[in-house]
Amino acid sequence: MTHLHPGYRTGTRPLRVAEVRALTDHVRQVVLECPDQTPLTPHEPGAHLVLRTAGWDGAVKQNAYSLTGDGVLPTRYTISVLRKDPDHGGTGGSAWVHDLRPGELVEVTGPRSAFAPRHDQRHAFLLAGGIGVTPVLSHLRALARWGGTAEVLYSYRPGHAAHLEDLRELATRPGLTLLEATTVADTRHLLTQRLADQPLGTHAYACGPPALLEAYVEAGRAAGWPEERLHLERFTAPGLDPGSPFTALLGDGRRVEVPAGTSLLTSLLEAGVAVPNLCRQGVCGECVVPVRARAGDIEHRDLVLTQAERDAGATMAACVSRGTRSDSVIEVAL
Amino acid sequence: MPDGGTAPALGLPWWPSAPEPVDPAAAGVLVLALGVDPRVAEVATAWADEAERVAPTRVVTVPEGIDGGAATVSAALTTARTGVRILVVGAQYDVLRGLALARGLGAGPRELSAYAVDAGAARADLPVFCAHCRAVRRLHTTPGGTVDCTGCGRHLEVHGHHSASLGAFLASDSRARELV
Repeated sequence: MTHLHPGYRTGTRPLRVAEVRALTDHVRQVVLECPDQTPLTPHEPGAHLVLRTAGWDGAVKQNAYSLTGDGVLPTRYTISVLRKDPDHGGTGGSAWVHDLRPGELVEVTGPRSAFAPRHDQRHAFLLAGGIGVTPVLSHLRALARWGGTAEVLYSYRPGHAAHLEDLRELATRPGLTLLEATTVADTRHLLTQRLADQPLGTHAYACGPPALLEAYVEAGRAAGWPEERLHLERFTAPGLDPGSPFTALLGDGRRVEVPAGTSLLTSLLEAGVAVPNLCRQGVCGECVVPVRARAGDIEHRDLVLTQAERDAGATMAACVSRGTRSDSVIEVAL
Repeated sequence: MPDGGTAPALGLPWWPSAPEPVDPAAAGVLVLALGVDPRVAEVATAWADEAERVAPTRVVTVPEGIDGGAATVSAALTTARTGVRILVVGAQYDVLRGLALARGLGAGPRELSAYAVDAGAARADLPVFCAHCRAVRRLHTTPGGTVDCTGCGRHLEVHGHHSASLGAFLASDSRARELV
Protein backbone atom coordinates (compact mmCIF):
# COMPACT_ATOMS: atom_id res chain seq x y z
CA MET A 1 0.00 0.00 0.00
CA THR A 2 1.28 3.40 -0.85
CA HIS A 3 1.68 6.01 1.81
CA LEU A 4 -0.48 9.02 0.93
CA HIS A 5 2.01 11.70 1.92
CA PRO A 6 4.10 12.77 -1.10
CA GLY A 7 7.18 12.70 1.15
CA TYR A 8 6.98 8.88 1.14
CA ARG A 9 7.04 8.30 -2.61
CA THR A 10 9.42 5.68 -3.93
CA GLY A 11 7.87 5.12 -7.35
CA THR A 12 9.31 6.59 -10.53
CA ARG A 13 9.04 10.39 -10.48
CA PRO A 14 11.03 13.41 -11.63
CA LEU A 15 13.52 15.00 -9.23
CA ARG A 16 15.36 18.23 -9.95
CA VAL A 17 19.13 18.58 -9.95
CA ALA A 18 19.88 21.13 -7.24
CA GLU A 19 23.66 21.06 -7.33
CA VAL A 20 26.52 19.38 -9.19
CA ARG A 21 30.04 19.34 -7.78
CA ALA A 22 33.28 17.67 -8.88
CA LEU A 23 34.75 15.61 -6.00
CA THR A 24 37.71 14.27 -8.01
CA ASP A 25 38.67 14.35 -11.69
CA HIS A 26 36.30 11.46 -12.35
CA VAL A 27 33.71 11.63 -9.57
CA ARG A 28 30.87 14.08 -9.54
CA GLN A 29 28.41 14.63 -6.73
CA VAL A 30 24.82 15.22 -7.80
CA VAL A 31 22.28 16.62 -5.36
CA LEU A 32 18.61 15.99 -6.13
CA GLU A 33 15.49 17.54 -4.67
CA CYS A 34 11.76 17.37 -5.16
CA PRO A 35 10.63 19.99 -7.75
CA ASP A 36 7.99 21.26 -5.29
CA GLN A 37 10.44 21.28 -2.34
CA THR A 38 8.54 18.63 -0.34
CA PRO A 39 10.62 16.37 1.92
CA LEU A 40 11.94 13.16 0.39
CA THR A 41 11.36 9.57 1.53
CA PRO A 42 13.69 8.54 4.36
CA HIS A 43 15.87 5.51 3.68
CA GLU A 44 18.05 2.90 5.31
CA PRO A 45 21.81 3.53 5.28
CA GLY A 46 23.29 1.88 2.18
CA ALA A 47 20.15 2.40 0.07
CA HIS A 48 20.36 3.39 -3.59
CA LEU A 49 18.43 5.35 -6.19
CA VAL A 50 17.76 4.14 -9.71
CA LEU A 51 18.24 6.86 -12.32
CA ARG A 52 16.85 6.68 -15.82
CA THR A 53 19.84 7.59 -17.97
CA ALA A 54 20.90 7.18 -21.59
CA GLY A 55 23.79 5.16 -23.03
CA TRP A 56 26.26 6.25 -25.74
CA ASP A 57 23.83 4.95 -28.33
CA GLY A 58 20.96 6.93 -26.82
CA ALA A 59 19.23 3.81 -25.48
CA VAL A 60 17.42 4.25 -22.16
CA LYS A 61 19.29 2.71 -19.23
CA GLN A 62 18.56 2.22 -15.54
CA ASN A 63 21.57 2.93 -13.33
CA ALA A 64 21.68 2.40 -9.56
CA TYR A 65 23.65 4.84 -7.41
CA SER A 66 24.15 4.63 -3.63
CA LEU A 67 22.86 7.50 -1.53
CA THR A 68 25.56 9.01 0.65
CA GLY A 69 23.33 10.58 3.33
CA ASP A 70 22.27 8.94 6.59
CA GLY A 71 18.70 8.66 5.32
CA VAL A 72 17.01 10.50 8.19
CA LEU A 73 14.28 12.91 7.01
CA PRO A 74 16.11 13.99 3.87
CA THR A 75 15.17 17.10 1.92
CA ARG A 76 17.84 16.26 -0.66
CA TYR A 77 19.30 13.07 -2.05
CA THR A 78 23.02 13.04 -2.75
CA ILE A 79 24.81 10.56 -5.01
CA SER A 80 28.44 10.43 -6.15
CA VAL A 81 29.02 9.08 -9.63
CA LEU A 82 32.28 7.80 -11.10
CA ARG A 83 32.53 8.53 -14.81
CA LYS A 84 33.31 5.30 -16.62
CA ASP A 85 34.78 5.74 -20.07
CA PRO A 86 34.21 3.18 -22.82
CA ASP A 87 37.72 1.71 -22.50
CA HIS A 88 36.87 0.89 -18.85
CA GLY A 89 33.63 -0.84 -19.75
CA GLY A 90 31.44 2.23 -19.38
CA THR A 91 28.25 2.15 -21.42
CA GLY A 92 27.39 5.82 -21.16
CA GLY A 93 25.10 6.03 -18.15
CA SER A 94 27.63 7.61 -15.82
CA ALA A 95 28.77 10.08 -18.49
CA TRP A 96 25.12 11.05 -18.94
CA VAL A 97 24.89 11.78 -15.19
CA HIS A 98 28.11 13.82 -15.38
CA ASP A 99 26.51 16.02 -18.02
CA LEU A 100 23.57 16.93 -15.77
CA ARG A 101 23.24 20.60 -14.87
CA PRO A 102 21.37 22.28 -12.01
CA GLY A 103 17.69 22.76 -12.79
CA GLU A 104 17.39 19.69 -15.03
CA LEU A 105 14.89 16.97 -14.20
CA VAL A 106 15.83 13.30 -13.77
CA GLU A 107 13.49 10.28 -13.61
CA VAL A 108 14.24 8.58 -10.31
CA THR A 109 13.00 5.35 -8.70
CA GLY A 110 13.55 4.50 -5.04
CA PRO A 111 15.23 4.71 -2.59
CA ARG A 112 15.63 0.94 -2.56
CA SER A 113 17.35 -0.77 0.33
CA ALA A 114 19.65 -3.67 -0.54
CA PHE A 115 22.62 -3.06 1.76
CA ALA A 116 21.13 -2.06 5.10
CA PRO A 117 22.94 -2.39 8.42
CA ARG A 118 21.82 -5.04 10.89
CA HIS A 119 19.95 -3.26 13.62
CA ASP A 120 21.35 -5.60 16.28
CA GLN A 121 24.99 -5.06 15.41
CA ARG A 122 27.27 -4.30 18.35
CA HIS A 123 29.94 -2.74 16.15
CA ALA A 124 30.54 -2.30 12.43
CA PHE A 125 33.54 -2.95 10.22
CA LEU A 126 33.18 -1.01 6.97
CA LEU A 127 35.33 -1.63 3.92
CA ALA A 128 35.29 0.76 0.96
CA GLY A 129 37.19 0.35 -2.28
CA GLY A 130 37.29 3.30 -4.67
CA ILE A 131 33.81 4.60 -5.53
CA GLY A 132 32.44 1.83 -3.24
CA VAL A 133 32.90 4.47 -0.57
CA THR A 134 29.39 5.83 -1.23
CA PRO A 135 27.24 3.33 0.74
CA VAL A 136 29.98 3.08 3.37
CA LEU A 137 29.75 6.84 3.92
CA SER A 138 25.99 6.47 4.34
CA HIS A 139 26.49 3.74 6.96
CA LEU A 140 29.10 5.80 8.78
CA ARG A 141 26.95 8.92 8.84
CA ALA A 142 24.08 6.91 10.32
CA LEU A 143 26.42 5.42 12.95
CA ALA A 144 27.63 8.92 13.82
CA ARG A 145 24.04 10.11 14.14
CA TRP A 146 22.86 7.25 16.33
CA GLY A 147 26.01 6.87 18.38
CA GLY A 148 27.23 3.52 17.05
CA THR A 149 30.85 2.44 16.80
CA ALA A 150 32.73 1.47 13.66
CA GLU A 151 36.09 0.92 12.08
CA VAL A 152 36.40 1.95 8.42
CA LEU A 153 39.03 0.73 5.98
CA TYR A 154 39.17 2.89 2.84
CA SER A 155 41.27 1.56 -0.01
CA TYR A 156 41.91 4.16 -2.71
CA ARG A 157 44.36 5.47 -5.26
CA PRO A 158 45.88 8.78 -4.11
CA GLY A 159 44.24 11.67 -5.91
CA HIS A 160 41.14 9.60 -6.70
CA ALA A 161 39.60 9.28 -3.25
CA ALA A 162 36.09 10.66 -3.23
CA HIS A 163 34.76 11.61 0.22
CA LEU A 164 38.12 11.08 1.95
CA GLU A 165 37.74 14.34 3.86
CA ASP A 166 34.18 13.41 4.88
CA LEU A 167 35.44 10.11 6.32
CA ARG A 168 38.36 11.79 8.08
CA GLU A 169 36.03 14.32 9.67
CA LEU A 170 33.61 11.59 10.85
CA ALA A 171 36.54 9.59 12.26
CA THR A 172 37.31 12.38 14.71
CA ARG A 173 34.16 11.41 16.62
CA PRO A 174 34.33 8.99 19.54
CA GLY A 175 33.95 5.35 18.57
CA LEU A 176 34.63 5.88 14.86
CA THR A 177 38.05 5.17 13.36
CA LEU A 178 39.41 5.32 9.83
CA LEU A 179 42.24 3.30 8.31
CA GLU A 180 43.52 4.21 4.87
CA ALA A 181 45.27 1.95 2.38
CA THR A 182 46.64 3.08 -0.95
CA THR A 183 48.13 -0.18 -2.24
CA VAL A 184 46.71 -3.66 -2.81
CA ALA A 185 49.30 -5.13 -0.42
CA ASP A 186 48.42 -2.65 2.35
CA THR A 187 44.71 -3.29 1.86
CA ARG A 188 45.13 -7.06 2.15
CA HIS A 189 47.38 -6.74 5.14
CA LEU A 190 44.99 -4.43 7.00
CA LEU A 191 41.98 -6.56 6.06
CA THR A 192 43.58 -9.68 7.49
CA GLN A 193 44.78 -7.88 10.59
CA ARG A 194 41.59 -5.96 11.36
CA LEU A 195 39.08 -8.72 10.63
CA ALA A 196 40.92 -10.83 13.19
CA ASP A 197 40.45 -8.17 15.85
CA GLN A 198 36.81 -7.02 15.89
CA PRO A 199 34.66 -7.36 19.01
CA LEU A 200 32.07 -10.12 19.34
CA GLY A 201 28.84 -9.13 17.58
CA THR A 202 30.47 -7.09 14.80
CA HIS A 203 28.89 -7.02 11.35
CA ALA A 204 31.07 -6.20 8.36
CA TYR A 205 29.96 -4.35 5.21
CA ALA A 206 32.02 -4.01 2.07
CA CYS A 207 31.56 -2.26 -1.24
CA GLY A 208 34.17 -2.08 -3.95
CA PRO A 209 35.58 -3.77 -7.04
CA PRO A 210 35.25 -7.59 -7.37
CA ALA A 211 38.88 -8.37 -6.45
CA LEU A 212 38.57 -6.42 -3.20
CA LEU A 213 35.31 -8.15 -2.29
CA GLU A 214 36.89 -11.55 -2.93
CA ALA A 215 39.82 -10.66 -0.70
CA TYR A 216 37.35 -9.47 1.95
CA VAL A 217 35.28 -12.65 1.95
CA GLU A 218 38.44 -14.74 2.00
CA ALA A 219 39.92 -12.78 4.92
CA GLY A 220 36.61 -12.95 6.79
CA ARG A 221 36.37 -16.73 6.42
CA ALA A 222 39.99 -17.15 7.46
CA ALA A 223 39.21 -15.12 10.58
CA GLY A 224 36.33 -17.48 11.42
CA TRP A 225 33.49 -15.09 10.57
CA PRO A 226 30.15 -16.77 9.89
CA GLU A 227 28.78 -15.84 6.43
CA GLU A 228 25.87 -13.92 7.93
CA ARG A 229 28.27 -11.35 9.39
CA LEU A 230 29.97 -10.62 6.05
CA HIS A 231 27.75 -8.28 4.01
CA LEU A 232 28.72 -6.92 0.64
CA GLU A 233 27.43 -4.86 -2.22
CA ARG A 234 28.74 -5.32 -5.74
CA PHE A 235 28.56 -2.61 -8.32
CA THR A 236 29.96 -4.57 -11.21
CA ALA A 237 29.13 -8.13 -12.09
CA PRO A 238 31.76 -10.53 -13.44
CA GLY A 239 31.73 -11.19 -17.20
CA LEU A 240 29.79 -14.32 -18.16
CA ASP A 241 30.27 -16.83 -20.96
CA PRO A 242 27.40 -17.27 -23.45
CA GLY A 243 26.33 -20.59 -21.88
CA SER A 244 24.38 -23.41 -23.46
CA PRO A 245 21.12 -23.12 -25.44
CA PHE A 246 18.09 -24.46 -23.54
CA THR A 247 14.30 -24.50 -23.60
CA ALA A 248 11.87 -22.45 -21.52
CA LEU A 249 8.33 -23.74 -21.09
CA LEU A 250 5.86 -20.95 -20.40
CA GLY A 251 2.75 -21.05 -18.25
CA ASP A 252 0.51 -20.95 -21.35
CA GLY A 253 2.23 -24.04 -22.78
CA ARG A 254 4.46 -22.25 -25.31
CA ARG A 255 8.04 -23.49 -25.77
CA VAL A 256 10.70 -20.82 -26.15
CA GLU A 257 14.12 -21.88 -27.44
CA VAL A 258 16.80 -19.74 -25.77
CA PRO A 259 20.00 -19.67 -27.86
CA ALA A 260 23.52 -19.47 -26.37
CA GLY A 261 24.46 -15.86 -25.68
CA THR A 262 20.82 -14.79 -25.21
CA SER A 263 19.39 -14.49 -21.73
CA LEU A 264 16.18 -16.04 -20.49
CA LEU A 265 15.03 -12.51 -19.69
CA THR A 266 15.51 -11.31 -23.28
CA SER A 267 13.73 -14.40 -24.62
CA LEU A 268 10.81 -13.94 -22.24
CA LEU A 269 10.45 -10.26 -23.12
CA GLU A 270 10.56 -11.10 -26.83
CA ALA A 271 7.86 -13.71 -26.27
CA GLY A 272 5.69 -10.98 -24.77
CA VAL A 273 6.04 -12.08 -21.13
CA ALA A 274 6.31 -9.05 -18.87
CA VAL A 275 9.22 -9.56 -16.46
CA PRO A 276 10.25 -6.66 -14.24
CA ASN A 277 13.98 -6.06 -14.58
CA LEU A 278 16.58 -3.48 -13.77
CA CYS A 279 20.32 -4.12 -13.71
CA ARG A 280 20.40 -7.08 -16.12
CA GLN A 281 23.62 -8.32 -14.57
CA GLY A 282 22.41 -10.55 -11.75
CA VAL A 283 22.93 -7.98 -9.02
CA CYS A 284 19.60 -6.33 -8.23
CA GLY A 285 17.22 -9.32 -8.04
CA GLU A 286 14.38 -7.54 -9.81
CA CYS A 287 13.99 -10.23 -12.51
CA VAL A 288 13.92 -13.28 -10.24
CA VAL A 289 11.16 -15.53 -11.66
CA PRO A 290 9.41 -18.61 -10.24
CA VAL A 291 10.56 -21.73 -12.08
CA ARG A 292 10.47 -25.52 -12.03
CA ALA A 293 13.21 -27.73 -13.42
CA ARG A 294 14.95 -31.05 -12.89
CA ALA A 295 17.77 -31.01 -10.37
CA GLY A 296 20.95 -29.70 -11.98
CA ASP A 297 19.17 -28.13 -14.96
CA ILE A 298 19.62 -24.54 -13.77
CA GLU A 299 22.99 -22.83 -13.87
CA HIS A 300 22.65 -20.00 -11.34
CA ARG A 301 24.98 -17.14 -12.19
CA ASP A 302 23.44 -14.30 -10.21
CA LEU A 303 24.74 -12.63 -7.04
CA VAL A 304 21.34 -12.43 -5.38
CA LEU A 305 19.95 -15.86 -4.46
CA THR A 306 21.31 -17.62 -1.40
CA GLN A 307 22.64 -21.16 -1.58
CA ALA A 308 19.44 -22.40 0.08
CA GLU A 309 17.32 -20.65 -2.56
CA ARG A 310 19.46 -22.15 -5.32
CA ASP A 311 19.18 -25.61 -3.82
CA ALA A 312 15.39 -25.24 -3.65
CA GLY A 313 15.40 -24.62 -7.42
CA ALA A 314 12.10 -22.73 -7.38
CA THR A 315 13.46 -19.36 -8.53
CA MET A 316 16.14 -17.99 -10.81
CA ALA A 317 17.41 -14.61 -11.98
CA ALA A 318 16.28 -14.52 -15.59
CA CYS A 319 18.90 -12.00 -16.71
CA VAL A 320 22.01 -14.14 -16.13
CA SER A 321 21.02 -17.65 -15.00
CA ARG A 322 20.14 -20.25 -17.61
CA GLY A 323 19.68 -23.90 -18.49
CA THR A 324 22.73 -26.08 -18.00
CA ARG A 325 22.47 -28.21 -21.17
CA SER A 326 20.80 -28.06 -24.56
CA ASP A 327 18.21 -30.60 -23.34
CA SER A 328 17.44 -28.61 -20.18
CA VAL A 329 13.80 -27.57 -19.96
CA ILE A 330 12.92 -24.86 -17.47
CA GLU A 331 9.27 -24.26 -16.71
CA VAL A 332 8.65 -20.58 -16.04
CA ALA A 333 5.49 -20.04 -14.01
CA LEU A 334 4.53 -16.76 -15.68
CA MET B 1 16.75 -31.32 12.13
CA PRO B 2 19.45 -32.34 14.60
CA ASP B 3 19.83 -36.00 15.59
CA GLY B 4 19.41 -37.25 19.13
CA GLY B 5 18.93 -35.14 22.20
CA THR B 6 15.58 -33.78 23.26
CA ALA B 7 12.78 -33.73 20.71
CA PRO B 8 12.77 -30.37 18.91
CA ALA B 9 9.69 -28.37 19.95
CA LEU B 10 8.66 -24.88 18.94
CA GLY B 11 9.42 -22.39 21.69
CA LEU B 12 11.57 -24.75 23.76
CA PRO B 13 15.35 -25.05 23.85
CA TRP B 14 16.79 -28.07 22.08
CA TRP B 15 19.40 -30.10 23.91
CA PRO B 16 21.84 -32.38 22.09
CA SER B 17 22.35 -35.88 23.54
CA ALA B 18 26.13 -35.38 23.40
CA PRO B 19 28.29 -32.25 23.16
CA GLU B 20 28.40 -31.01 19.57
CA PRO B 21 31.71 -31.05 17.69
CA VAL B 22 33.78 -27.86 17.59
CA ASP B 23 33.23 -25.85 14.37
CA PRO B 24 36.42 -26.35 12.30
CA ALA B 25 35.98 -22.82 10.86
CA ALA B 26 36.51 -21.22 14.29
CA ALA B 27 39.36 -18.72 14.67
CA GLY B 28 39.14 -18.94 18.44
CA VAL B 29 37.16 -20.93 20.99
CA LEU B 30 35.79 -19.86 24.34
CA VAL B 31 34.62 -22.67 26.62
CA LEU B 32 32.38 -21.52 29.47
CA ALA B 33 32.17 -24.16 32.22
CA LEU B 34 29.40 -23.14 34.59
CA GLY B 35 28.81 -24.79 37.99
CA VAL B 36 30.49 -27.58 39.95
CA ASP B 37 28.80 -30.68 38.52
CA PRO B 38 31.59 -33.20 37.71
CA ARG B 39 30.03 -33.71 34.27
CA VAL B 40 30.62 -30.01 33.54
CA ALA B 41 34.36 -30.35 34.07
CA GLU B 42 34.38 -33.55 32.02
CA VAL B 43 32.60 -31.99 29.01
CA ALA B 44 34.61 -28.75 29.25
CA THR B 45 37.88 -30.69 29.25
CA ALA B 46 36.84 -32.80 26.25
CA TRP B 47 35.70 -29.68 24.39
CA ALA B 48 38.93 -27.85 25.20
CA ASP B 49 41.05 -30.78 23.98
CA GLU B 50 39.15 -30.83 20.70
CA ALA B 51 39.11 -27.04 20.35
CA GLU B 52 42.86 -26.69 20.85
CA ARG B 53 43.38 -28.69 17.66
CA VAL B 54 41.19 -26.16 15.79
CA ALA B 55 42.09 -22.72 17.16
CA PRO B 56 43.44 -20.88 20.20
CA THR B 57 41.18 -21.85 23.06
CA ARG B 58 40.28 -20.24 26.35
CA VAL B 59 38.47 -22.09 29.12
CA VAL B 60 36.67 -20.02 31.73
CA THR B 61 35.48 -22.00 34.74
CA VAL B 62 32.80 -20.40 36.85
CA PRO B 63 32.15 -22.73 39.79
CA GLU B 64 29.69 -20.29 41.37
CA GLY B 65 27.41 -20.59 38.31
CA ILE B 66 26.01 -17.84 36.12
CA ASP B 67 24.34 -15.77 38.87
CA GLY B 68 27.50 -15.39 40.96
CA GLY B 69 29.83 -15.42 37.97
CA ALA B 70 28.05 -13.16 35.47
CA ALA B 71 30.81 -10.57 35.69
CA THR B 72 33.48 -13.18 34.90
CA VAL B 73 31.47 -14.48 31.93
CA SER B 74 30.77 -10.94 30.66
CA ALA B 75 34.44 -10.05 30.85
CA ALA B 76 35.38 -13.15 28.84
CA LEU B 77 32.73 -12.39 26.19
CA THR B 78 33.68 -8.73 25.96
CA THR B 79 37.30 -9.54 25.20
CA ALA B 80 36.29 -12.25 22.66
CA ARG B 81 36.72 -11.36 18.98
CA THR B 82 34.34 -12.06 16.09
CA GLY B 83 35.39 -15.41 14.65
CA VAL B 84 35.19 -17.08 18.07
CA ARG B 85 32.90 -20.01 18.84
CA ILE B 86 31.42 -20.09 22.31
CA LEU B 87 30.76 -23.45 23.94
CA VAL B 88 28.64 -23.35 27.08
CA VAL B 89 28.32 -26.29 29.48
CA GLY B 90 26.50 -26.47 32.78
CA ALA B 91 23.11 -27.23 34.25
CA GLN B 92 20.11 -25.90 32.28
CA TYR B 93 19.68 -22.85 34.51
CA ASP B 94 23.27 -21.72 34.06
CA VAL B 95 23.45 -22.60 30.36
CA LEU B 96 20.21 -20.81 29.42
CA ARG B 97 21.17 -17.68 31.32
CA GLY B 98 24.74 -17.86 30.00
CA LEU B 99 23.51 -18.13 26.41
CA ALA B 100 21.26 -15.10 26.90
CA LEU B 101 24.21 -13.13 28.25
CA ALA B 102 26.28 -14.13 25.20
CA ARG B 103 23.46 -13.19 22.82
CA GLY B 104 23.12 -9.83 24.53
CA LEU B 105 26.82 -9.22 23.91
CA GLY B 106 26.43 -9.99 20.21
CA ALA B 107 26.89 -13.75 19.75
CA GLY B 108 24.80 -15.28 16.97
CA PRO B 109 23.33 -18.78 16.59
CA ARG B 110 26.25 -20.03 14.45
CA GLU B 111 28.67 -18.96 17.18
CA LEU B 112 26.97 -20.69 20.13
CA SER B 113 26.89 -24.34 21.19
CA ALA B 114 25.47 -25.57 24.45
CA TYR B 115 25.35 -28.74 26.47
CA ALA B 116 23.17 -29.12 29.57
CA VAL B 117 24.27 -31.88 31.96
CA ASP B 118 20.77 -32.15 33.48
CA ALA B 119 18.82 -32.08 30.20
CA GLY B 120 17.41 -35.57 30.78
CA ALA B 121 15.89 -34.79 34.21
CA ALA B 122 12.08 -34.73 34.52
CA ARG B 123 12.30 -31.61 36.66
CA ALA B 124 15.26 -29.28 37.02
CA ASP B 125 16.18 -25.85 38.28
CA LEU B 126 15.08 -23.60 35.43
CA PRO B 127 15.20 -19.86 34.82
CA VAL B 128 11.57 -18.74 34.98
CA PHE B 129 10.36 -15.24 34.17
CA CYS B 130 7.43 -14.38 36.42
CA ALA B 131 5.08 -12.09 34.52
CA HIS B 132 3.89 -10.59 37.83
CA CYS B 133 7.11 -9.68 39.59
CA ARG B 134 8.79 -9.22 36.20
CA ALA B 135 11.96 -10.95 37.23
CA VAL B 136 13.76 -14.18 36.45
CA ARG B 137 13.66 -16.74 39.31
CA ARG B 138 15.48 -20.00 39.73
CA LEU B 139 12.64 -22.51 40.20
CA HIS B 140 12.58 -26.32 40.32
CA THR B 141 10.01 -27.17 37.68
CA THR B 142 9.46 -28.18 34.05
CA PRO B 143 7.89 -26.43 31.04
CA GLY B 144 4.14 -27.05 31.28
CA GLY B 145 4.38 -27.59 35.06
CA THR B 146 3.37 -25.39 37.98
CA VAL B 147 5.48 -23.95 40.77
CA ASP B 148 5.28 -21.26 43.46
CA CYS B 149 7.09 -18.04 42.64
CA THR B 150 9.77 -17.28 45.23
CA GLY B 151 9.28 -13.58 44.53
CA CYS B 152 5.54 -12.89 44.69
CA GLY B 153 4.26 -16.23 46.02
CA ARG B 154 1.82 -16.74 43.15
CA HIS B 155 1.28 -20.29 41.92
CA LEU B 156 2.77 -20.06 38.45
CA GLU B 157 2.16 -22.05 35.33
CA VAL B 158 5.46 -22.39 33.44
CA HIS B 159 4.55 -22.03 29.77
CA GLY B 160 6.18 -24.07 27.05
CA HIS B 161 7.82 -20.93 25.78
CA HIS B 162 11.44 -19.98 26.26
CA SER B 163 12.70 -16.47 25.55
CA ALA B 164 16.18 -16.59 24.04
CA SER B 165 16.94 -12.98 24.91
CA LEU B 166 15.83 -13.36 28.54
CA GLY B 167 17.21 -16.87 28.81
CA ALA B 168 14.09 -17.88 30.75
CA PHE B 169 10.79 -19.69 30.44
CA LEU B 170 7.76 -17.45 30.63
CA ALA B 171 5.34 -18.06 33.49
CA SER B 172 2.12 -16.53 34.75
CA ASP B 173 -0.41 -17.05 37.54
CA SER B 174 -2.03 -20.46 37.00
CA ARG B 175 -5.14 -19.32 38.93
CA ALA B 176 -5.54 -15.97 37.21
CA ARG B 177 -8.89 -17.03 35.76
CA GLU B 178 -10.37 -18.15 39.08
CA LEU B 179 -12.71 -15.69 40.76
CA VAL B 180 -12.30 -15.67 44.52
